[in-house]
Amino acid sequence: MKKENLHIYIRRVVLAVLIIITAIMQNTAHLLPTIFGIRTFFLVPVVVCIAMFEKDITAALFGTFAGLLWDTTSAVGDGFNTIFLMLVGSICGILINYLMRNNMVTAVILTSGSLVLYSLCYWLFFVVGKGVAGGGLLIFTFYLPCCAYTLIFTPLIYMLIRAFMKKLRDSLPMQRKMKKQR
Amino acid sequence: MRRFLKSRWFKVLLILFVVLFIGTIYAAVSRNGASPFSSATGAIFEPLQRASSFIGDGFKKMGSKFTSSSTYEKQIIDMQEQVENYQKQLIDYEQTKQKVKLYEDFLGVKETHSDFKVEPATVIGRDAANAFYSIVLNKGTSDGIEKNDPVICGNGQIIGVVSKVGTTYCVVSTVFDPSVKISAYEVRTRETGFSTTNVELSRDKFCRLSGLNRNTAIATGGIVCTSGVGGIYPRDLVIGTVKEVKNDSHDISSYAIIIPGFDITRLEDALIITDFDGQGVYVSED
Repeated sequence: MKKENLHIYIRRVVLAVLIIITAIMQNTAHLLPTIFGIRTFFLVPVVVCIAMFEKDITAALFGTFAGLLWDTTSAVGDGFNTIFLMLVGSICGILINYLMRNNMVTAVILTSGSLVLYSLCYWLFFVVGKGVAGGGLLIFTFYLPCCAYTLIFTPLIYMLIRAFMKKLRDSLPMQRKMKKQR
Repeated sequence: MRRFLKSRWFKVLLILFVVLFIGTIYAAVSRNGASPFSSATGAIFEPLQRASSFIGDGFKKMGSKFTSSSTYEKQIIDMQEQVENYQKQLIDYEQTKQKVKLYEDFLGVKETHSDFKVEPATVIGRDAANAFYSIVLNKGTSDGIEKNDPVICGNGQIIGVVSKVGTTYCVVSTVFDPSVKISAYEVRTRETGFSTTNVELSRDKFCRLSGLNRNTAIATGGIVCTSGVGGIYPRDLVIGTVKEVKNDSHDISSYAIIIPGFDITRLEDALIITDFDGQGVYVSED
C-alpha cells in the first residue's frame, strides 16, 4: 500500500472516530455541561471543520455519517439530520475549495451560518410546522442560545482538526508534499 | 551392683523418683494439671522463654528480608487479582440492587395490572436538538418493542410513548412533548380531559390537563391518571398530581397544571409495556 494512500485511510478513520465520539458526547445526558437547559450541537462544527480540509464529495459523506448517527437519537424527522449535514458538508467543502480561504475566521462564519440555518429549519419543520403551542418563542429561548453556546467551542474544534491534518501532512515524504502543493 | 544399691546416691535417686512420682499423681488429680515442681520450674524459666521467643520472632522477620522479589511480585499480582474480582463483584452488586429496586417498584403495578407485559430498558441517550426531553432506550424491535408502546417508570408513572423504533433501540417522546396527548381523568372528581403541554410548561417540566369545565371541582393535590381511551395507554397509570387550576385564555374551559412524579433529567431505567388488555382497541368515553 502506498504511503500516501495509507495517510488517506488513516485520516478518514480518525475523522470518522472523531465524529462518533462527538455524537456520543452530544447525545448523552450529563456528559457535557448544560447552561439552564441550553445544549451544544457539536456535530455541526465538526462536520464544517472536516469539510474545510476535505474534498466536497468526501465532506458530504462525512456529513451523511454524522447525520445518520444524530438521527438514531432523533424523535422527529428521521433523515432530517442526515440530509442537512450532508448538504452542510458538501457546501462548505465547495466554498472552501473554490471560493473562500481556509482559516479560523471562515470556520467561524461557516459554522455560525450552518448552526443558525439548522436551528431555523428544525424550528420551522418540527415546532412551528407541527403547531406546537408557544413554539414561536422557542427559537429565541432554546435554539439560538444553543447555537451561541456551540459557537464558543468552534475555534477549539477547528484548531484540533487543523493540527491533526498538518501533522499527518508533515509526515508525508517530501516529493509527495511537493506534488500535492503543485 | 550391691555396692551401688547401698550407696548414698542411689538412695537420693530413689527419693527423688518417689517425690516426682507423687508430684505426677498430684498433677493428674489437681485442677490445673501441673505439679508443684513444674509450676516452680516454669515460674523461674518463663521470662527466659519469653526472651527466646522474642529473639526467634526477630530472626523470622529477618529471614523474610531474604525472600526473593519474585515471591513478593507473585503475592502482589494475586492480591491485585483479588481486588479486581472484589471490584467486579461490587459493581455487579450495585447493578443488581438497582434492578431489584426497579422490579420492586413495578411489582406493585403488576399486582394491580396483571395483564401487563413489560420489557425493562435503560436510558442510553437523548436528542440534543429536541427541547422536549425525548430519550433513547436500549430496546428495539428485536425485543418486541413497537411504535406507540407506552413507557412507564418502575412505580407506574407514565413517562411517554415510543415514537420511533430501531432494531436495538427506541426513541421515546415524553409527556413533556406537546405532541404527546393522553386521555386522562382526575381520580377524586372523575372529571375527564386530556394531558398535554406547551413550550412554557415543558421547560418547567409540567404538563396540563386540558378540556376541563369552567367550574371544575379539581383541586390542588388531585391525582391525574390515564383513562385508557384510545387504546394506546392502559387505564389508571398515574400521570401526575395537580399543582393548580387555571382558566384557559383562549376558550371557556379550564385546565390543571400537572407535576409528573419523576425527574426526567435523572431517569436511568424505564419499563416498556409491550402488551396489555385493550391495546390498540379504541374505547369511547361513554
